[in-house]
Amino acid sequence: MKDPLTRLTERTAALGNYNRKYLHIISTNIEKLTSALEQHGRRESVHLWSYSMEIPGEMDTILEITSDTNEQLDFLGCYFALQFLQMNLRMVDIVKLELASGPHRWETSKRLMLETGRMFRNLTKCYMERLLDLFIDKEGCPEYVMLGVGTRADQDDIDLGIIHKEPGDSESLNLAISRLASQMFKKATRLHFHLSEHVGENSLTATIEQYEETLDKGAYDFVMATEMLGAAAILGSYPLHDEFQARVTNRFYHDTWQKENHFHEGYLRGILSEVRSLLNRMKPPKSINPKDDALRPIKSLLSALKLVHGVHRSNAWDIIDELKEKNAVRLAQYTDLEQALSFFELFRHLYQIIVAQDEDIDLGEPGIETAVAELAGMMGFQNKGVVSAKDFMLVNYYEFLDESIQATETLTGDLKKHLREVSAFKPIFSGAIYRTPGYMGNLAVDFIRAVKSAKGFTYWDDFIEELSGENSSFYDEFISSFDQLHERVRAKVAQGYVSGTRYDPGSVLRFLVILGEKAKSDVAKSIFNSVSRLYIDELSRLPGGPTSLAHMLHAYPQALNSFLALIEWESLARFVELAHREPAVPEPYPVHRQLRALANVHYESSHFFKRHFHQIITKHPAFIRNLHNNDKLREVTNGFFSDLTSIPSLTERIERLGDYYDLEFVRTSLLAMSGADCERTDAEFIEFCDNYTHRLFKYCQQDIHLSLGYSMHTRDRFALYATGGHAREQGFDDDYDLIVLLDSTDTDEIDYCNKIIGKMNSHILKRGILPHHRFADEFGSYVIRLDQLAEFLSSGSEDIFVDQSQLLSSRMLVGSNKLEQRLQDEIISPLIFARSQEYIEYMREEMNSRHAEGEDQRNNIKECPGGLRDIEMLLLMYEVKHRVRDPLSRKFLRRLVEIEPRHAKDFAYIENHLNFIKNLRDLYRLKVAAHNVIDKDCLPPVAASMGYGENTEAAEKLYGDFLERTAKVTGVIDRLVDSIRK
Amino acid sequence: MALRYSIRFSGAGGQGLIQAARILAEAAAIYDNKNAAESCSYGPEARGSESRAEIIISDETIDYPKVDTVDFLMALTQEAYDKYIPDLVSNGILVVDQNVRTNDQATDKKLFSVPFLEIAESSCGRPNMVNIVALGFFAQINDVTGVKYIRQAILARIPKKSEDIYMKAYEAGLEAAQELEK
Repeated sequence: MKDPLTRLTERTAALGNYNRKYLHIISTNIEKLTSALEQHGRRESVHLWSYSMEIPGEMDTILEITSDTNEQLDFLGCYFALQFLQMNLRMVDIVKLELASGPHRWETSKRLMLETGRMFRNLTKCYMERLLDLFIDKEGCPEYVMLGVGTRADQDDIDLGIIHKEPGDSESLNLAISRLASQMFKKATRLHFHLSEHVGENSLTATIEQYEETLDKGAYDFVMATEMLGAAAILGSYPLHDEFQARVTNRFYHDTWQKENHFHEGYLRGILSEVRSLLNRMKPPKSINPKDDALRPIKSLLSALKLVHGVHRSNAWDIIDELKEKNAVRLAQYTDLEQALSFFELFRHLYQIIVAQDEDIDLGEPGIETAVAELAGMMGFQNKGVVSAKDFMLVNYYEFLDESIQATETLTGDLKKHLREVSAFKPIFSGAIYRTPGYMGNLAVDFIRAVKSAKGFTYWDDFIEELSGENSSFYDEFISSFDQLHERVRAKVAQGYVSGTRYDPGSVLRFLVILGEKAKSDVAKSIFNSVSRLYIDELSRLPGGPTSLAHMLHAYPQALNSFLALIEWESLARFVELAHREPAVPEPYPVHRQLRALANVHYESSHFFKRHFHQIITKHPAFIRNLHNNDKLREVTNGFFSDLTSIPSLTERIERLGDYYDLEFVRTSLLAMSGADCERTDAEFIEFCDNYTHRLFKYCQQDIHLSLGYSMHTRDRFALYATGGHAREQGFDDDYDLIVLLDSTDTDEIDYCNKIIGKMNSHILKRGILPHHRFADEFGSYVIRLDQLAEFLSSGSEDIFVDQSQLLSSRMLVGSNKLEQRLQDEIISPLIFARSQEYIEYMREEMNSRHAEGEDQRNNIKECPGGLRDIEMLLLMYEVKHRVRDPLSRKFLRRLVEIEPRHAKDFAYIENHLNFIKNLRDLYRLKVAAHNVIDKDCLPPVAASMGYGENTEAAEKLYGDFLERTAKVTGVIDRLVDSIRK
Repeated sequence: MALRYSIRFSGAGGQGLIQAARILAEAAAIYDNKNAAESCSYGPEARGSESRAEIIISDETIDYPKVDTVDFLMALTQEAYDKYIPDLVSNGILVVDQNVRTNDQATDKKLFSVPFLEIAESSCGRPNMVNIVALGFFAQINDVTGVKYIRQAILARIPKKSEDIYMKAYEAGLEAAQELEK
């Protein structure tokens, strides 16, 4: 037969590894303890191998069998360990039994957790009382009370606050408690004294007067306040606890007479900030954390609500019960919280008992999945078909979580309203303070006093809302009051605004964004810039480094983006540096990439790019999260485009189509900036532009139809052409050249089509792109007829070759092939191809005159010898020579190789050069400025994207290559032009 | 002379330093039968991703569990180094992550610069095992409590079936220290 220790060891194998320490304590002392009990004939008086209902008496028995203190400590510790393990084994058996019939019995979970807490408290209280009896010198010992200030059933540690009362030997009390802590640590559970450590001079205990002083000085934080408010007496003087409540914790309750709500307000601000941070926190994809996901936000919220509704309870379930009565209008929300609390408390407790005492549960870790499956079974979940019990439980986890979040949001909404009512800012927000006779305050200083009233009280949404209000009077008053301060005071105040960064960088960020966005005057801008600099200093000191910034991006993508857009260049450079530091913790790597991508976008992009970027990020901030992943972005934009047809409202559809354009513009730009091949970026750019134009024409046609009440069928007689860069399949232009043809003399039809094009123009303009209609000025209409065109091209005007080129290089976007054929037959062939020699000579002449400008055009990518214009003109000359009408793209160059194989090498050289300068031009536009003339000092970011490297020498090398290549290609082009003319 | 050894682990939230401190304290108190006290940062600063844990290990009863100066400082981030280096006694042991830049204040200390993240990744493919690697390193360069006790305490803290991976990380920490000590 197995001995009891072996049996206990085997049974304990069902529990988590941490129970080994209790087995270690038992195995070290059990023989001595058993033998001592037997020697004194008391073996039958003590339950060693089963759970006892007589713990206090049995502990006393153990103390009686030896007078040796060390033995007493060892025996008591051994008894504690035995009872602790048996308590947990019993708990597991009860849970299995009670929840066997089904998992959705939250009332049972609540009862089980309350019972577990009671059993654990009873066991630890009995143990601690007896240890203190051994350690305390009763004669000089002051009156004291030991308060439990944490979760009652938490076995990993016990959070304590200890209050003593003068007179008495508090030093000896501290010594005794220190010994108690040491014994508890060795044999039972750690004790934590966070509260006492921060109050008074003794390390472990403090007087009520010291607590009062701590509050008066504002030397506390909301974590300490929460502990004070949740305190429940464990042992010692209960009247002292009552006095503590009356003199200390009651200060935090809402004073309905509005005499003193300073502490109440401060605490609400701390809790609102805490709850928001927890709800917004970045959750690792494979982990769950019942404490941070749900228990902490729920308990924080309850701790604040009990102050508003005058509930003087400390247990979360008791608080909910009373809140249900006192605030019955929110009964549904309290019920949701109660159910969630019961589920998560039981889940966490069981996990800690049978798996590990960790808060983060990484479902990808070895062993965890099996353990969680076992836990699901214990909680009454069962496999059903292909769905496992574990998956059912996780679904429940997220359902309870969603319900608790919804309830939390409703209840925090109530808290925010209440805060506005009790806030010391109420007379400031309403303006009443300025009408108070003799008011000498200063808003900027009033704000900082409130911010600094206690550590970590960083919920300032009400103030931020006032600042951002449409009526700028509050903002103006704030700026003016700040500006009136003496320089030295101003620096201190500014530092004060950013002092909360270490607790809640997001709140400070949102404050700064409003400050910056509304800054119109130089004074306001200067204040924003100086506070922003200090904020970045604070960010640089955050212990999490870039991880803290990544958390901020996760919680406030839009605010961070706005902030980066608002700050000065030097501040932006510092932010980029911070974002690129190595993270201390690997966990949020994907967010780091997002952060770096966002920082880079701001630091290394032109206004040309940012215009589209801001437009889209303001509307779709979630887009920021995919900046580093172009494939994912493409999925999103494709989804946007596919989804257009399902939008019932035409106005909304056009709006979303515009978003599609902006998203695609940003995506292809990012692709280009990441160093992608420019042939690919051009192709993708033109693809979305064509999609956009095609669909926009259709929607504008529908719009005109709806506004006129009729439509006209012009299908076979209408064509919309792109010309210029878009026709050449060249991305990243900031204008859009269009030609609209209509084969009709009917003025109603012309008017109808002009209306459609007019609509299109206004939408294209919203994208920041200028639509150009080459012939509109000439004919006073967007829409032109073929006969008008023929007449115009026959006029013999000197610059006619420009218009001929536009037509020649045009590419049909919308319309009929029939009309395209007529354009070819009636315009292109007789009026351009038939006059090829004349056209080629014009072009040659234009080329020569441009080249004659020499040095002035040297840095102009488009107009310089060997630049984009030369290549375009050369291709046009070939089109005329060979009577073909292809888009002037790389494809045409490749076709020329087939047509004139003797120049194959030259064409290949030109194609290579075209890629080079096209890449240079695109990147310059996206990273520096949308100019054709390059400034060589601005080339470093371009050189980096083109693979030259990131230093000044790399930029020099790029510039040198540009000069050398354009010079070489000029010679090639000259030679080819000569051959065309022969 | 009685031993009273003060240790501070400091870095960023998520590095598992609080867990490491608990393991170390349990190793000393439960398995090595010494006295130990452990405390960690819980205030709102902990919400800002700072992480700090202190352990006192002593042969005698610990009457005063607060730490003013430390004999051993592990700083895994630059911020932690900058903040806590003044508290390290002369000739104290300073262990920093290799990305931490030390300054003049480190000159009279016994300095170890260790690529903890790399070791964690290469030994067990888990960068989040930095804390266990750090414990292995601590155990090897310090005899305040035994290597085997820390091993026992680790095994008593972790979920079942994850023992192999934790032990790989622990052994890697021990080996890294042995390499540096050569």
